[in-house]
Amino acid sequence: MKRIACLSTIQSNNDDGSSASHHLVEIFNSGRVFNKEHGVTGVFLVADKYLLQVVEGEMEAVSRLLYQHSRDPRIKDVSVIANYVIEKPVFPGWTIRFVKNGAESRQAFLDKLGKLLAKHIEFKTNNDQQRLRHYFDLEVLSGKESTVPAGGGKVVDFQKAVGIPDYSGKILGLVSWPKPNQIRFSPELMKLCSRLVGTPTAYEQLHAMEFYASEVALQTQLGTLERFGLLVVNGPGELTEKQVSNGSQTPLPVKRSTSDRFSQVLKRFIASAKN
Amino acid sequence: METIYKKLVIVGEVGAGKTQLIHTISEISPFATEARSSVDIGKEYTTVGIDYGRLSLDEDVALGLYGLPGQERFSMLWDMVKQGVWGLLVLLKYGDGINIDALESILKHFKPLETNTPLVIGISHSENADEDEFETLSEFTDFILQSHGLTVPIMQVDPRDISSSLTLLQLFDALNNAEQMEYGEMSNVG
Repeated sequence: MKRIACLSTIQSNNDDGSSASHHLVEIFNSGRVFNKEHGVTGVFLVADKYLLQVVEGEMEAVSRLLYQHSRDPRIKDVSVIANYVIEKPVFPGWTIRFVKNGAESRQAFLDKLGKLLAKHIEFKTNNDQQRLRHYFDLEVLSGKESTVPAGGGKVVDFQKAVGIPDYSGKILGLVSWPKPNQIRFSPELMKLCSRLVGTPTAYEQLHAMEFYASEVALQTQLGTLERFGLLVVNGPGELTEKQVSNGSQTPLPVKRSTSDRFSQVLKRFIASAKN
Repeated sequence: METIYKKLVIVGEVGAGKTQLIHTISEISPFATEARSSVDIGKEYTTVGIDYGRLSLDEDVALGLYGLPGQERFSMLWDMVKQGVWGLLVLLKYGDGINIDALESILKHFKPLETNTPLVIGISHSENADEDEFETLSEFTDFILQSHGLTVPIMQVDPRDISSSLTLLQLFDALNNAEQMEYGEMSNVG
């Protein structure tokens, strides 16, 4: 069994006028059926116009897959940067992940993937290095830097940590909503996420909104969102003046009586219907 | 007493479950807007025009439910309801693949970001979905939304199930309240 990592770039000139999104769907789909039929697993990572595929499977199957990929007119500069024998696959299936620059939402996944590949990566060209930087910190990958910066890092392994995470004094935001298979959408979570996606919010202000029955419940839920890489946590000094002044106020809902009344009546209706 | 009437617009492809969803949460049967299908779409009858349902929440409070086809050629129907929308639900049917064109047309037409319209993406027919396939659909959908500057919830919806439908209404209520709270804070500054 083999594990192969392959970089490529999506062609920017699309003769048929279709969008990059269309091409991405087609490129991904071109491998999806093949992978399922031939037991190939792995991940298809998209960062801007760059693709990093990490595939696992029997040698013949992964070789055919990469050969087909290299002949796809929608991509260019295909380069295999890792190719080694493995005993068993680590990926349960074939999935896609989008890596957004500056977002921490994939960081835990990328950290694990980096560790998996680190010892086996061989760059063929400088272009490979440049493209791989969209996914990994190459200094960390090469082992020249510790994964935890001196003085402690932002990433906290809550599975190892003792106690409930403390967000006092922090400004919180959400980079995206949880996926349907990540967390169940409770009424409390809906209110929390609706609030945090809209605007960065001071923890104390969030607590004052009383979305959860207890502070522990709120902190636990925030911790779960952080573990999924969805929560952005900033110190107060990292916000603009306007954001700080907003964050320090107790929220006063706008007196829009019709909308408030509608909301109250709807809540009553839903509670009654659920019973 | 002034009547409070809000509009929930549900847009989606044929067979996504618009009619069923409206039927589930509406207290009155949808108007008879069904006609026999002339082409094989997997069912005998399909909706022609707009599905409509109404949920009376109180004597003077009601929610109108509008089900619209997702194809751009029906955009004149979209125009009929796009003002003053309380919520926009885009219903995607799992198993139909990703129809990027349809989703982008809907987003361009309703402009949820500019109009501050709460938007939810619902994925139907996904009870027995393959986990990888479902995750792929969610990822791609999220990718397309983010390219429009949108960060919105994507949730599984069973149009036949009242509990699933009520969860949907709770989500729209939370989104509307968050928007009002944000507007209130902005009003309070300066």
